[in-house]
Amino acid sequence: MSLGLRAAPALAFVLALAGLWAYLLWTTPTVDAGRHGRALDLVRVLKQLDAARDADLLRVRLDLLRDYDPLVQPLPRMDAILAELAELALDDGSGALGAAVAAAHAAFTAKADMVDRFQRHDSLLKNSLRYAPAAYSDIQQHAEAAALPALQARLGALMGATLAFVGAPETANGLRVQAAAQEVRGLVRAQPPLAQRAAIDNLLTHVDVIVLRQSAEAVLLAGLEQAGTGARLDEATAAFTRRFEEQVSRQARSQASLLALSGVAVAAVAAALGWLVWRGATELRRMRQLVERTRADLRESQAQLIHAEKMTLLGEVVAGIVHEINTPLGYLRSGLESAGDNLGAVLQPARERGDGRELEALEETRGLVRDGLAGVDQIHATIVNLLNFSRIDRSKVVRCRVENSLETTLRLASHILKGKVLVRRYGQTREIQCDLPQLNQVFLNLVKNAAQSAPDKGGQVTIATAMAAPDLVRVDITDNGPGILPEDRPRIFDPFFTTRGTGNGLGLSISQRIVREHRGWIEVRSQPGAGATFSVLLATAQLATGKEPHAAA
Amino acid sequence: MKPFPPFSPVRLLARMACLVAWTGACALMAAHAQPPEPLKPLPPAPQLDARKVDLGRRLFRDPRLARDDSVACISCHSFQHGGADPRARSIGAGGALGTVNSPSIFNVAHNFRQLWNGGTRTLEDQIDAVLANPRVFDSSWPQALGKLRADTALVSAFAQAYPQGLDRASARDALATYERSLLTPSRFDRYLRGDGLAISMEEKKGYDLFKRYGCVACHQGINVGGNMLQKFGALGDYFQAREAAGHKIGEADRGLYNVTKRPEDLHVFKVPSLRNVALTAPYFHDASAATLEEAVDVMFRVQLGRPAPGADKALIVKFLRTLSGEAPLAP
Amino acid sequence: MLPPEPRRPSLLFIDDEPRVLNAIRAVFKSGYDVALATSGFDALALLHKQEFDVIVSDQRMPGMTGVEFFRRAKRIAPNTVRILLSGFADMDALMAAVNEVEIHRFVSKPWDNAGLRAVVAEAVEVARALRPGADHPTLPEEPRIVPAEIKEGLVVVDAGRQLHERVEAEFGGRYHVIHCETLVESLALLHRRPCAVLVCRLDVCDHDDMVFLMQLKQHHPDMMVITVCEATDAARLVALINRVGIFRFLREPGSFQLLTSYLHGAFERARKRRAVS
Repeated sequence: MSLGLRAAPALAFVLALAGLWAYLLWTTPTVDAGRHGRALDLVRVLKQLDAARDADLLRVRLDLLRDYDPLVQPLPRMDAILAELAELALDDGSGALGAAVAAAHAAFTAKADMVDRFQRHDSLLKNSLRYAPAAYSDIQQHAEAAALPALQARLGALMGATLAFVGAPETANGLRVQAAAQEVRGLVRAQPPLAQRAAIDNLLTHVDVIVLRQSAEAVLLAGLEQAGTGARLDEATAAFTRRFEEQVSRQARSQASLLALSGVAVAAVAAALGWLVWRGATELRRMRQLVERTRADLRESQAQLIHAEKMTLLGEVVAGIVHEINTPLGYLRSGLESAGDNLGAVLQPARERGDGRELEALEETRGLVRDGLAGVDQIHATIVNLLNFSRIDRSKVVRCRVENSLETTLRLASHILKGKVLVRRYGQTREIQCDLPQLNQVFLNLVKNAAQSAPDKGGQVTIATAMAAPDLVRVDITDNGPGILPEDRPRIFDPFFTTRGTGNGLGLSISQRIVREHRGWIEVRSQPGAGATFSVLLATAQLATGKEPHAAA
Repeated sequence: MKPFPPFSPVRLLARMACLVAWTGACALMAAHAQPPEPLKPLPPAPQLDARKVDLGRRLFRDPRLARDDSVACISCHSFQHGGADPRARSIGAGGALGTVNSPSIFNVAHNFRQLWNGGTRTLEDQIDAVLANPRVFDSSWPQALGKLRADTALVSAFAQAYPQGLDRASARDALATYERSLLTPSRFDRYLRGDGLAISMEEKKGYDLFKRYGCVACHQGINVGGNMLQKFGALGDYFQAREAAGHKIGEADRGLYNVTKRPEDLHVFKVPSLRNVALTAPYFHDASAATLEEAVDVMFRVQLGRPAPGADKALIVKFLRTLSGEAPLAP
Repeated sequence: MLPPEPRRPSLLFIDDEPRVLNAIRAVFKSGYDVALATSGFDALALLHKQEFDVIVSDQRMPGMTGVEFFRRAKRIAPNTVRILLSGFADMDALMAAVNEVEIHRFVSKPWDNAGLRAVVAEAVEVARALRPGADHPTLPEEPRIVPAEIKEGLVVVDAGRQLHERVEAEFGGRYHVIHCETLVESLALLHRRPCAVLVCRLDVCDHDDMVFLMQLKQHHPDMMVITVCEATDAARLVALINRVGIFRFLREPGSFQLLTSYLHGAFERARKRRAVS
């Protein structure tokens, strides 16, 4: 009886504790890390699809791509991903998350619609741009038009204005085209009936199409640039991650309460609770690691994707850049030369006249012209180097000696190597087969690393080549810097690993990928305090490839 | 010189030039030296579940999808006529006259939308649309499934291929899977894949003209069309001329407008695929052109807005005939 | 026919950048009649009115590219010598420039004035030789059945035999088709027996071919050279144009039909040249 009385509060306490404990355990949310990872994966894929479509849009604009399949092929995949994201958000039940996904969905729908309309305008615009010049030259070659110089001139002005508008689709230029078209119309009306009337009307129709569609396309492209799909996706990612972190921290809070509860609980349940806590903690750690890892993955794959896209586009537009620079260089160089010749011609009479001041001014001008020519040649040499480095105008896989690639790289890296001693120890190496721009990039990365590691005073970079085996070429790039810390050694090829504040930490990882694709490898030797050597090993080219007989058919 | 108009290309070029010249950290990948070909060969047939394809084949020929068991999918998608309907207007359940000429069922997997007005995005949605359409099957899923469930052989075949057995989702999926298998590789695909002798010199000339006259502005990609929408009569009013010739312009002639109700979408249609075009007469949504030659004429007039010598058009027609593929096996 | 009046050589330059034209005018105004145009359209109009010895055009221009312009110009004035002057050589433009419009030289920007003057002077010589008025005899009929000893020669240089066999099958009846494994071998052969046309398969990676081809062209300037190569870069093609003066360039895998038509063209051109000289 008394035992029962004494035991009752304890029992009640235990029961209350157990009840509270059970409640806390029950309310502790279960965090589904798999689902979170899935959502992030989906967003990442969607982002890649979107980025690829943007690049393709630009390619279509630049006429590097002549079919619209790449613009529409990702649509089903995008729709499916957005639907799955909406489902995930719905399962989660968070309003903010649902809104973020819905916003992304709306942005994608709007963008798809704009792309749709872009295709409509773009196809008509390209048709008219292709036809208008031909229509013009047909009219021009017709005897009747040739007999009307006024009409010839107006038509010429119309074409000129149209070209200017295509180059710079601004309202003012558009108005100029319309004015020119009006003049042609007026002139045709003032003439006795022309046999070419229909052809001219047709040309005017196409000019109208160009003005209308070009303007519409400009508006659409501006809209596409601000479609904000990327931003909406980033927001969705953030919403998913926020939600996940919220759940993880709620789980952590509940577990902390459980811990406190177990602290005042009876010793008998301590062991059980202890086990539970231990399990909770490892789980939490695992979750945190998972978050960290998914984030790192996301960051890396996005960075590499953007890098690759950028590089491809860059290759495509470099042709344009080179032409754009070489054209002014052309007239600059030729003009300077002619100016120099002209000066030479007036210099002789000036000497004979013996006017000291005039002579001095002419001599000085001649010197300046000569400097100008040297400058032009220097710019041209840089362009040639750039082209050699990129070799966009060359075939992809070539046979060459590594020394050639190294020299191209060193010329381009001269500003990085400024103030350092460069030692070349080239051996007798055989040719290798490689994708030259890629290999150039590897060497540039390694030379850059070496130059940045070498001390500012007395820094030295040594580049040595040799045959490591009868069919293996070795390139050693050595610096006399502080070397690599033993604890850093295993991580130097990891993406985003960098010991310097600057740089994206991708150089070595990309280099290693490229060398592996060439079926070679990179070796590292380093003593702390005594510099580091990066060795690239590459197989030599097989002899007599491509000599097998095959016909031209 | 400004070769690349909008999209602020100058800024882009300048930024990229700086990137290369001054950081030097970028590798320039080799540009594609080949000029991009606007037409692409048909990719190899995808791996599909043979059981699902077979179920789809059966449903495709099954008149129980129609309210009065009078028509099946194949009634209007004739395999002898390039998967399209040789009649100007198709006839649906209860003898109802359709509003447009049925387009080809072949290679639909590579169309970005279905139906003439681009009204549905997926094959599955298209199946829903025609099932409910009063001028086609005039039925509903409960009604059609009710009739199909009485067929024990069909029900057990469905149970083997789909965990859930025969239902709306599995019936739709079977039909769509079958449609995805209906691909028609042609001589021209062999040419695109490098077999220079697959088409004749004249046909090659025709292809060159097809590109030069700008037909490829819209008819490009794997399906030689089917990947965009365009206004019918972009450079010449097709519908006005048609009305003037005494034809009535109806609701079906409004195209995408019926879906979006946006004024700019009036008379906008899906650019049809030109694969098998020589077999799919009559042409256009309203079947207004009886022959391929007529259709090419109309296209030159209202889409390209330019004259062309008859000889050139004849060569283009010759090229178009190379797009006829082998019809998939009928039952 | 009146004897041609002695007149200054006439040049036509086309570039969409007027400053380039200014610079060029300064170089050529003495010694030449220079006409300038800022677009292909204007230039075509000029061509209708006037004859030119040499046309020099830029490649990348809005509205009409250089090659496209040359294509039309060739129809109007087939005897004019064409030179492409451009800031960047892309493969496709170069291929079209050789095979379709037969440009005489490719000059890249920036150019040096003396070099450009030399190229243009040489082109004027070529144009003068082409000009009708020197009373060319009519072309001889294409030989149908000819005795073996006077058949025209066609050399096929290829490490394998397959190409030779196909050419032999197609042309063996009309021409004497000879196979050589290397260019060096063909040099020795041509020394003994001059041939009208040479087809040469080039190795993708081997750049020594160029030296031999240049020697070949030095010894046999009238021989038509057609090169066949799997892939090549623009710089190499420019060298083939400027230093070897190839007649056609074929990218493998190309069609045999195309090669056949190039070969017919080459023989026809060889006959024409013989008739002129």
